[in-house]
Amino acid sequence: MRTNWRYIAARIVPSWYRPDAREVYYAVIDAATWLWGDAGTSAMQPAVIEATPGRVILRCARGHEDALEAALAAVTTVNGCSVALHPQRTSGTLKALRRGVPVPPSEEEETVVELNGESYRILGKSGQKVDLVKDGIKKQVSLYVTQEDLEELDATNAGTDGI
Amino acid sequence: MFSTDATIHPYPAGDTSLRRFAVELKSLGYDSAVATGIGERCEYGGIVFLKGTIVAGGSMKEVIAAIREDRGSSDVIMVCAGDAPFNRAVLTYPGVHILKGVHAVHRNDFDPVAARSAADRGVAVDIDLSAMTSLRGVRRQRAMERLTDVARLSRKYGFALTVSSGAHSLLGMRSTRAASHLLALIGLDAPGAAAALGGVRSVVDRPGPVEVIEW
Repeated sequence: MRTNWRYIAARIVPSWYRPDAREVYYAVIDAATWLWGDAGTSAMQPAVIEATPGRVILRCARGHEDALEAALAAVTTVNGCSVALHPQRTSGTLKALRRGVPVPPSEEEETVVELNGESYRILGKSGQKVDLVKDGIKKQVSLYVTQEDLEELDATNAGTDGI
Repeated sequence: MFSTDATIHPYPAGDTSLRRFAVELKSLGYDSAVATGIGERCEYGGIVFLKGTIVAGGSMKEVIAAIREDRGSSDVIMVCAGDAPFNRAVLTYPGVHILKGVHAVHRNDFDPVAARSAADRGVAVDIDLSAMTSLRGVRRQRAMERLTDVARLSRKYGFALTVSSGAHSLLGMRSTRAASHLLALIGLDAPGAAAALGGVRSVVDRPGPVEVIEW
């Protein structure tokens, strides 16, 4: 008998992260197995249909949407990178889902800004949102601000309590 | 319907600025949040940020000192839960709004006596979503067991619940939709989850003690 599928669109944060569908699948399966066990996850039959920067579309068996959305909320890393998956919409067809949840626009520019005497790379810009990354010797340091914060910092050259 | 994230830690404690938190909170379905480390109550982009203070003192003496030091400048005072006598004392002390970290204490440390005190005094108990998203294995099972008990006691005694992400970054936040699904795991149905998401309002807007004014 043919399975009745449901499709779930989730926003992936940060928006500049380029997700690999296979890695997203492993992360979701891992979270679902921790929450619902092997039996529950196999009944759910989750699959990743599409993984683009800013949006992930998943599929599951009908009646298991809420369980999969709970599992998505429990995903904290994909392939070692910290991310968050925010379920946005559920639909019975991919067409309706894609129409309802468009891919968020993101400007990519390799600009370097100076903040508090340290240089940060702008990794992603989307509307007011600006994602900055400082490459260190041991680890990357991320900073999530807005355009207004950047302008304020540039104008006043503020210290740590500037934003 | 009000939805408040009961704890966020903006920059410099976290890596996300207050304005960026405002943008993200709006897109995730919230209208307010309790932020630690801010000077005073403020509003950005339609999101109200209440000033929150977390008191992590292990003894009642430290809690009283911290509340006195605050001098009413914080909108929300949250105290981390401890053993049973400590919790009972905290729940009856005026000025405390929320008891945090109940998922991390022993099962008997938040018992029906404490639950009744919380209901009588109008103190809310916080549900930390990060316990359900970040912990793994036995620790998560224990945390969810505690939170299920708290939800059951809340239904029985009527004290308010609040929901917090405890986010230091926008990656730690969860949408109201995701929060409802996570709260369903500890036995809160849709109306219960909605009430918990709006729980901060009920403790902030509660009537204060009667003051005697001389004239």
